[in-house]
Amino acid sequence: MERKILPADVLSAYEDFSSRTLARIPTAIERLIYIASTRDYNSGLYHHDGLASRFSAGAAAKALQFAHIEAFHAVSAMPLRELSDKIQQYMKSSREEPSAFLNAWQKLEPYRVAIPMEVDPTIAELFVSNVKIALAILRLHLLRQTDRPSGALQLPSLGPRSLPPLRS
Amino acid sequence: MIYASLIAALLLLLALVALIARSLQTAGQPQEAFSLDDRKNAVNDALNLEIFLKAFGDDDQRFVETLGDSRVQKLLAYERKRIALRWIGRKTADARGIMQAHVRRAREAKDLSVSAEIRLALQYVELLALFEFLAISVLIFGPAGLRKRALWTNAILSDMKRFGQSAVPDAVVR
Repeated sequence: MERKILPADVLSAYEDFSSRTLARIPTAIERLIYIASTRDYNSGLYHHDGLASRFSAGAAAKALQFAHIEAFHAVSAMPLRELSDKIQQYMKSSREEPSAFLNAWQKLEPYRVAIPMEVDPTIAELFVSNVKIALAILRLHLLRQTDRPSGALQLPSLGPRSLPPLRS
Repeated sequence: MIYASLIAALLLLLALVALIARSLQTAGQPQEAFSLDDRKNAVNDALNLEIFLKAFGDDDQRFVETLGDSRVQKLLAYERKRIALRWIGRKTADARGIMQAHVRRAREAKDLSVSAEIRLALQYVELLALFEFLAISVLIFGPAGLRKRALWTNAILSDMKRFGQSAVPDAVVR
């Protein structure tokens, strides 16, 4: 998305939100989930108290909407290796049991609420499809880890660098 | 009598050729600058296509193969095929929408360009045939060769959108 097309006040709000809030969130998937959480489920409108107090409520909402679409596109464009890696990082940061996390994500599909309203339907489907495959990969990883005792054959790493195991 | 009919037919043909040549000249002239919304839509369309085509590269396929699990491989193949078919379906609907909107406006237009209408109709038929071919190809062989053809069909669709708009200038193509 082009930032140049944003009105000046929305662009300022977006830059403020990016530097103060998003910069502190380590992974793209966490940023996406965080921004989606600022959207009201019933109205579809975005709200952020801090941002609305520094800028107008309208500019803040539009900045959040823009940031949401941008974060969504970033995650949708990720190769499966990277997406699996990021979801694994998010799973670890959630401090939830990996099997419970995977059960919930595969059955309830909570990641669907992270889809912005104004995106291309094919890209939205691609996002859901990629997350499904990434979860299947993480499930496979988990099954192989529980099947094999420690020190057994290692799976190919998910990321470019070697990732720590799911359970320490 | 036969000669007179032949001469009349020849004259009519020449008049038609002259009319088409004149219309082609008009159609080839530069169009009005894009509005901000057009630019925004064009940027979004390009980005969406880039994201979509990225998914059909070799990276994901190679990565899943390294995992050595047939279920994940099958899931990837199934999902990619499904997404490819959805994309083809949506683009076919887009082409139909553009054509239907154009026909609606053309009915009310006063000075239609014959060559522009012929060109648009040919593009439409070409696109529908291409989408059918793509869908069959994806169903039988999978979406491996989709990237190049998707770029091609998308270029024709964009051209059709622009051309449909310029052929009946009063109208706004969505």
